[in-house]
Amino acid sequence: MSRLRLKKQNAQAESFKKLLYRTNEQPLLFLVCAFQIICMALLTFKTADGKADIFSLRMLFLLPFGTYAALKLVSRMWPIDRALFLLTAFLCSLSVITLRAVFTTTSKAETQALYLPIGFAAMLIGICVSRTFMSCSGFLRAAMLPCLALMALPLAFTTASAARSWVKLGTFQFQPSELLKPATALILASEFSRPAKNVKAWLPGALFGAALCAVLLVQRDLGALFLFFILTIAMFTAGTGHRKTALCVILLAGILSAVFVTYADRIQGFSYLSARMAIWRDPWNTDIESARQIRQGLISIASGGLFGSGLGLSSARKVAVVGSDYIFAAVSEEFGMIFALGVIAVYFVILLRGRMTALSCRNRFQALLAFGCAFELTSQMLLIVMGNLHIIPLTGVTLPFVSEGGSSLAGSMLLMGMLLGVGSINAQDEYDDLMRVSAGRRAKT
Amino acid sequence: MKQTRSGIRLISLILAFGVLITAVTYAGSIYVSGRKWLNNEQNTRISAARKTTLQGTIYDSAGTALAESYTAGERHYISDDAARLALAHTIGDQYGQSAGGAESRFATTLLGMTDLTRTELTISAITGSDPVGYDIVLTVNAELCKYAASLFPKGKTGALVLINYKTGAILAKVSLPAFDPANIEASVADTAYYDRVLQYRYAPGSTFKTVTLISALQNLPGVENETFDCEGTWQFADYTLKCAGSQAHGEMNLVRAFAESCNITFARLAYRMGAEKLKATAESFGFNRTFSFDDVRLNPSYCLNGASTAGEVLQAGFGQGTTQATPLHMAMISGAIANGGEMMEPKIIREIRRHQSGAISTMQSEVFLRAADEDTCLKAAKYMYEAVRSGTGTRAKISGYTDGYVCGKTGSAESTNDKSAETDAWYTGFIYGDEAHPYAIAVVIEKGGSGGQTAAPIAAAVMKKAMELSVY
Repeated sequence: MSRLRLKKQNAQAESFKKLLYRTNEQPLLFLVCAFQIICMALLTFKTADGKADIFSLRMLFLLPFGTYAALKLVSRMWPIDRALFLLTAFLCSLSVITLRAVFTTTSKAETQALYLPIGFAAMLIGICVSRTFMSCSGFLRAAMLPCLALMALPLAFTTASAARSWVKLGTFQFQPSELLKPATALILASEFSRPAKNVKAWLPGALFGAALCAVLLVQRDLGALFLFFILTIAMFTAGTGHRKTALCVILLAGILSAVFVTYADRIQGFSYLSARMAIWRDPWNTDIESARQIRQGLISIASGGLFGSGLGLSSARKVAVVGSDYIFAAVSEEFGMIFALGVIAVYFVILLRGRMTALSCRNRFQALLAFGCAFELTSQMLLIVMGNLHIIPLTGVTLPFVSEGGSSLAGSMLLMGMLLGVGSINAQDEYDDLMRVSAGRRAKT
Repeated sequence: MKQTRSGIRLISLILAFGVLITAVTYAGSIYVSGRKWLNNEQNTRISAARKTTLQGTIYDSAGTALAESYTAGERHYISDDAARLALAHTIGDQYGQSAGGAESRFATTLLGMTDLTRTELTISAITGSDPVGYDIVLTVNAELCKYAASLFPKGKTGALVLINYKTGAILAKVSLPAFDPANIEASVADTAYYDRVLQYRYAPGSTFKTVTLISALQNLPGVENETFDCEGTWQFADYTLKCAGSQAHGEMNLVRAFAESCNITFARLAYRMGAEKLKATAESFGFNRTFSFDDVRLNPSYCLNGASTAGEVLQAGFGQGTTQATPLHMAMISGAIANGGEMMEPKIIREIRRHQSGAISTMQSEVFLRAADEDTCLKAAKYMYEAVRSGTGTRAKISGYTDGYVCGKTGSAESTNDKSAETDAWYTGFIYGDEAHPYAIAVVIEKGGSGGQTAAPIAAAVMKKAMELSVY
């Protein structure tokens, strides 16, 4: 083979590579950076005392630069789905912007900005993990027990009054359930993609999911419980194809939870549930003081109107826990309904691209993993947004990437990283195929 | 692998559907209930905006300013004390004490907190001037309200409402005791902040016989030709029913029984029709349901329910027992009879204007429900005409008025079980066949005694004054 020919072949390979990852990311990159710059510029000059806000000014440069650098770094290493990456970057910067706009006196936005590099690291880890585990493995089965132990860890730190889902180590605290979401997706993908078709093959995975749910029930973290439950059911259905079994389990769980909620009064520690239901039925009943949060949330969402109050001009502060549970209300009020619908659409795109990635996978494990990640992110968004909009009772889960908090961001980033990793394997497979085809064609001629 | 793919497709579809539902519900609930959420008393944005926005003016239908501001953060009410008190519940106040008043219910309009003023907000932010809210023109006439309040016997509480039954516009509305919007710190009677016209449920007493009458005309063929006999009291099982003062009305037909307001005849009619039929007619007139009108927040009225006892059914025939209605609802029932069965949605905003400028929206009349057929309504109107011409409502006649027919029904309702207490005096009625004055009215004077003696003359005087002012 002559040198010239080799060079030509390399050039061809390069053009193939470009063709393969069809995402033309330039316009999207431009849009995301423009959004970051405009918002941060506004926040820099919109201050109560008339002085420029140094943090926002810094972020005005750091956010677009960070986005650009991170994109270049990752796409140099792996052929990832860059659109998905940029949408994640958009949601993360939306988090910092909204927190800065709403909390003018506290340093929540600063803390969140510090979490962003950690989140990016988590995403890199996620990519590496999904590129390491290529199919179902005994290691992942062995990881079940440590995972369960980690989930149960907060019980060791519990005092009677405190929340039961946090682990505290000195000043550092985290929520294991957030970090266990990606681990669970990985383990379940492995369990439900075993080649054998009998009950023995899928039972450990199902038991693992059930055990997680049981631990969360003891911790009274019902939002997380629901998320883990539907994640297990969804991955079980997709992996094993036993749709009837899945349907029966859903029905059974529905009946059980209905009974549970009805008799919640008499169950030790769950009496707050009936209060929650009363709030959900009639949040405008002013006799119920604890319904104040949802009332203020709805008022806040409606206050935004179509185009929002403008950055930093809202009164979203009045909603309790606006930084995490009610960040969607803050986004709606600051940016307006059209923008907030756009944010919902971003998650929709994440779901669609996750589905696309899963469908073009070469093996079941990877397909399940990609699907599980996309499912988890979207279903969590639905749970909290529907709660904020008073469509379903409110549960305290976070809006992925947007809510404040390090554990939540790291967990979501790990999920996104695994999804991107599977996508990169797909891209390489596709590339290899194309090379093979073109080599074959060359051999013929 | 194929199976996995189809599973992934299915679950993604379900999830995508969930996202779609969320987006649609979001947009839909903002469109449907957004204004309700915003005008809630708990919206602290309103009190914050009152400090920085030049609030719009509230006008009455004659163009008198009821509440106005010259700079942001202050509010001036109509200086005539009597008019201000008469209109207190219609105007409302700046602190949300009287939540149904225009100041609270239309706060976001008066403060311009809607998307339409976005450009104006931006302009005012650049020029440094205060943002300006919208002006509201109400359908009520201040002078008429003031006059109506002055007619109430001294020290008596109660409610009066006059509506245009063709358009649904509320022309006059008085609730006593009142409070003073300009001096909200002054101590007032316990229930002064309640708008009795919209929020108080009274036993309607004999005024409810209009509904029983229509139900009987619809359900008992030939009832008009029957003869009824009244001995003054009627013992039915454990229940003893009485006519006013236990006086026997003797033998009479249905027209006389209605005009003389015979309780026993109407209890017998209720008994013959049965609970289901009377309840169905009452519900076709808007009982037992939640009202959700754009302009006014009207409390629901109740008639019979599934668990009503025999005694309650008999008492429902003449508006006692579990029967409860708001004054505005009684006026709407009279209006529906006058309007050939069409009950109009009550309206109180005539116009929304850009501050001291042109209208951006005007009142649109809407039919709320079709309560009964035209023939039955015309018959009922004749019965009500007879009640005013020669029955208990003779004092409702308007002296010197010949353009239309004054029709009505009096009521003396027992509000407590204490038989020695004075009854609530009721009158409801309308003017029939006068295109220029399509008025329907409801008056209730708490502990006012006999409706024919106390309430009917007030109704006549108010309608006469309304004609003089040519209120429409």
